[in-house]
Amino acid sequence: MDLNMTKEQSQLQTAMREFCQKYIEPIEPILDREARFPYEEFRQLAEGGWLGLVVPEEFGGSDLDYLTYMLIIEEMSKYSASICVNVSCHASCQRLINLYCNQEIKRKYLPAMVAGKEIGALCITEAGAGSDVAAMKSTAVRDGDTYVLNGHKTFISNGPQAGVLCFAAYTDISRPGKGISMFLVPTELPGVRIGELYEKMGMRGSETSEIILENVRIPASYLMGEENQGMKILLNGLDFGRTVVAVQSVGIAQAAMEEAINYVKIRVQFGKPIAENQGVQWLIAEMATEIEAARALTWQAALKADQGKPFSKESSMAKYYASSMACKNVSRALQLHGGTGYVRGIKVERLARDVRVTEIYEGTNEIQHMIIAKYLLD
Amino acid sequence: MDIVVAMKQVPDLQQLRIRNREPVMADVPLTFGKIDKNALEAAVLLKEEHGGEVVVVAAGSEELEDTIKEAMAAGGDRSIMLADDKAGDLDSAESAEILAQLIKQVDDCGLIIFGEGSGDNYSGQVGSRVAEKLDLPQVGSVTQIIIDGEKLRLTRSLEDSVEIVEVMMPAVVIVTADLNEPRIPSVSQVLKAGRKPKEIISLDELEQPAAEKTLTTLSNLAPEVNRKRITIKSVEELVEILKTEGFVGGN
Ligand SMILES: Cc1cc2nc3c(=O)[nH]c(=O)nc-3n(C[C@H](O)[C@H](O)[C@H](O)COP(=O)(O)OP(=O)(O)OC[C@H]3O[C@@H](n4cnc5c(N)ncnc54)[C@H](O)[C@@H]3O)c2cc1C
Repeated sequence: MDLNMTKEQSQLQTAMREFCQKYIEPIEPILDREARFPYEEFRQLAEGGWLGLVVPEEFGGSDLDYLTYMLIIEEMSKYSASICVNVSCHASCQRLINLYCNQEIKRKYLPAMVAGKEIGALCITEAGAGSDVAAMKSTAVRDGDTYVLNGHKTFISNGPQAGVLCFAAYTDISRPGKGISMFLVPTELPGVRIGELYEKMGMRGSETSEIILENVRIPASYLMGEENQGMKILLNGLDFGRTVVAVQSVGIAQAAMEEAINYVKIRVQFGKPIAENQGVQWLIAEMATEIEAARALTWQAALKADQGKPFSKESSMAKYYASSMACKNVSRALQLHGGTGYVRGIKVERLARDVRVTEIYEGTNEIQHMIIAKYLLD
Repeated sequence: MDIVVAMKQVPDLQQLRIRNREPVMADVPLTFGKIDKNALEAAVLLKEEHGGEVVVVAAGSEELEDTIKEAMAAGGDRSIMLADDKAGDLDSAESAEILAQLIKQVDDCGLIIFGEGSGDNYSGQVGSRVAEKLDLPQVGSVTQIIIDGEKLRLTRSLEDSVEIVEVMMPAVVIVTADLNEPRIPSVSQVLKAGRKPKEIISLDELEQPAAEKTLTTLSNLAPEVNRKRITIKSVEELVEILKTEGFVGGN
C-alpha cells in the first residue's frame, strides 16, 4: 500500500528515526535491564515536540492527523516499544482531555503535558475487571460541587509517573456498564496512592503499577463529558488505542525482521551464509509480506478515523492481526538467530519479551474477535 | 548580514541499493547531501549568534520544491531555487553558473558556505567555481567558522596541521563533514518548513543561460569487491590472516 506520503510525513518519520538513533537506541538496553521510566528521554521527546502530536496548536501541540501519528509511532516502536507505551498512553490521555474536558482544564493540563511536565495515565482495569470492563467497582459520588472517588486500579501504564489520571468509575452502580463516568484526577490530591509496581517480562522501560484512590475529592467540573457517558468515552479511547497497539506491533515486527535479515546474511553454516538456504529465504519473504499486510490494515483504520468515520471494527481487526502477526514473526526472527537469539543483550531477545503484551493489552485478542464477530453477525 | 548555503538535492544514499553494480533508483527519495547538511548547520549556528537570515540556494529537478523543506526544517529561513526537470542532472560547471546567479539575488550576503563535496558524485568543484564567478575569496577544508566583525576567522584541518586563516567578508567557505553534527528538526520546525518564503525560477528565467555541459558520464559502477570468504575461529587466526594480507604490522 503506497500512501504517497507528503514531504512533511516522510520528514517527521525521518526526524523520529534520527531522534531514536541518537537518544533512544543507546538507552533502551539499559532501561530493559533496570526496568525504569526514561525521564531524561521523555524530556528530550518533549523538547522535540514529540509529546504534543495529537494536541491542538492552541495548547502547544501540533494537531497531527492519526495517520501521521501512526507513522511516527511505528518508527518509535522499532527502537523502543516501551517508550512507545509511555508516549502513547500519555497521548491517549491528552486526546481524551481535549475531547471531553472544559476549556479551563485543557488550558491547565494540555500545555504542561505537551511540555512533559505532567504525565498522563489511563485508569480502567481493576483486579476483577479486565476484559469485562463493566465489572469495575470504582465509584464516584456527587457531593455538592465535588465528586468523591474511591477505587483500586491495576496494571496502569505510567502509574508511578502520572500527574493526571483519566479515571473510570461508577456514578450509577445500579446500571452495569451504563452507569460509568470518566474523571480527570490530578495525582497531587490527597488520597491518591501508587500501589504495587509490577515486575514485567517485557516493556521494561514502561512502569506499570496499581493506582489507588481513597476518598479523593475533585471539583465536579473535572467530570469528563457527561455523567454516565464513561463507557462511550472509554470505547472511543480504546478505538484509538487499539490502532496504536497495531502500529506498535508492526514496528516491533519490522525491527525483528531487520535484525533477522542482517543476521542471516552474516551467519555462516555449512560453508555459506544461512540466508542462502531457501527455507530461510521463504521465512523472510513471509515475514515481510505479513508485516506489510498488518501495516495496511493499520493505515486503513487510521485513514477511516481521519475521515471522521466509525473505525471500531477496523481498529479491532488491525490490533488483533498485527499483534498476533508480530508475536509470530518476532519468534521466527529469534529462531533465525539460533542460540544467539536466546541471549540477554541481543535485540531480538528483548523484542520477543516486549511483543507478547501486544496480544493482551487494550483488550485481549480474544475480545477483539468478539468485537469483530459482533459487527458481522448482529 | 545574511548567510547563504548552497545545497544539492541527491538520492538518499542510505536507501540506495546496488544491483549488478548499478544503483537502483526506483523509489529512492531525494534529500540533501550529508556535508551540505553540515554546511547548513554551520550557517544556522552563526545566525543564532550573530543574527541575519540563512538563505538556502539550490538547483535541481522540480522535486526540489519539496526537498527544500528539509533545509527549512533544519533552520534555513528562506530559499532561492532553480527547480526544473531539465536541471535534474547538472555537471559542476552548470551548477556553478546557476548557483552564482541565484546567490547574486541575495543583497546583504556576507558568507557563502558550501560542503566539500555533494552526496552523489563528490566532484568538489562547485564552491571554487562559484567563488571565481563571483570574484570572491575562497577558503577550503574548513572545520570551524568564527565571525569577527567584518572578517572571518577560519580553521582548516589539514593532514598534518591545523591552519587558522583570516579573510574579509564576503567570502566563500567550503566546509568538511567534521565541523558539527546537524540538528534533528523538531515537529513544529518540520510543520512550519513549507510556509517559509521561497523563490523558484526555471532554466528559461535565468539571466544568463546555464553553461554548456562539459562532462559526459560514460559509466558509474560500484567497485567490484572480491570477497575472500575466509572463515576464522579465533582472534589469533584473524590477526594472523590480517598480517598475511598486509593489513596490520608484521610484529
Ligand atoms: C503491560 C500492561 C500495561 C497495561 N496498561 C494498562 C493501562 O494503562 N490502563 C488500564 O486500564 N489497563 C492496562 N492494562 C490492562 C490490560 O488492558 C488488561 O490486562 C487486559 O484488558 C486483559 O484483562 P485481564 O488481564 O484482566 O485478563 P482477563 O480479562 O482476566 O482475561 C484472561 C484470559 O481470558 C480471556 N477471556 C476473557 N473473557 C473472555 C471471553 N468472553 N471469551 C473468550 N476469552 C475470554 C482473555 O482473552 C484472556 O486470554 C495493562 C496491562 C499490561 C499487561
